[in-house]
Amino acid sequence: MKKILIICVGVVCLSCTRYVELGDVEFTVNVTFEKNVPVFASTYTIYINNKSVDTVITSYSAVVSILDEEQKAVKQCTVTAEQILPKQQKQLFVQQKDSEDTIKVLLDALEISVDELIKQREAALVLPARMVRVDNVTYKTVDIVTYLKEVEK
Amino acid sequence: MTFDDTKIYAYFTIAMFIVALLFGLPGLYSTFITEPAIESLIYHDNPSSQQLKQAYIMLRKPHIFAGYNRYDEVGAGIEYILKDFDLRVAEKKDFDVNDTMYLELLLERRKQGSDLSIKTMVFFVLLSLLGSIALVIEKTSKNRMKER
Repeated sequence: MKKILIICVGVVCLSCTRYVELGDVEFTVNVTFEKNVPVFASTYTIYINNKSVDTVITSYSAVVSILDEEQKAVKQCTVTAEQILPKQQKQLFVQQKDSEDTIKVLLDALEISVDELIKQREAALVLPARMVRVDNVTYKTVDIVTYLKEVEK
Repeated sequence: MTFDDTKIYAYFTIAMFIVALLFGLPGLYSTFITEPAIESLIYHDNPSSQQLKQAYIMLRKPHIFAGYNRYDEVGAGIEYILKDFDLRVAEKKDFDVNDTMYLELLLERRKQGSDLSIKTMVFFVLLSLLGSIALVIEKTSKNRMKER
């Protein structure tokens, strides 16, 4: 009888841990090159995804670096965003004029030739996660219920 | 090393009763206070946008037993409801009577959470009862042994 009672108490303790989950922010960087040789007009589209279900990101800033094969930063963009609701995705555009040399490093990492890119009118690339690094993150969050109540006032 | 069985049974009974209360109180509170308040807003005659928004904000705080972090197949659509309604409240868009059915889905989920909470409480109350029966049997048998 004692053994059964002790096992019952053990089951209670184990089941409690299932309810813990933390929110997170996910990044995707998409780069579009426009043909304008020798200068490329590159549009870096950054998707910030609020994966949390109950937290609103009220202000967010980070430095997004695009890395080459040796994990050196090829490009750096500072992104800022205001109000990203739970499970929502924010799209940010950063437009820059890049030289061919800058672009070449990026394309080498993706195994695409510059000539091939020049032939196309426009090319879009979705960078793999290994080529994107996010640093200097600062953000403020608020609970969704508090946020909605504030909006409704 | 010998155990005092009476003490073990007594502690077990008390512990299970406390656990039953902890699990049951959120469900009872939701069933008797929160859910009727939400229903009065949703099922109001010709509910206004303000009342429906109020109901949504109340439903947005999930029941501890029916959180919005995990979904099974039945509840998969709820994530889309939350996403859309959050955006509409944030953008100060109006709610109308057609939204009632989606609010009912959220309320249904909350009620399922309350059911689970109350059923869990019943389970632990039964365990507590089991402990108290064992305690009575143990005490009775000890008394009999003393009499002999």
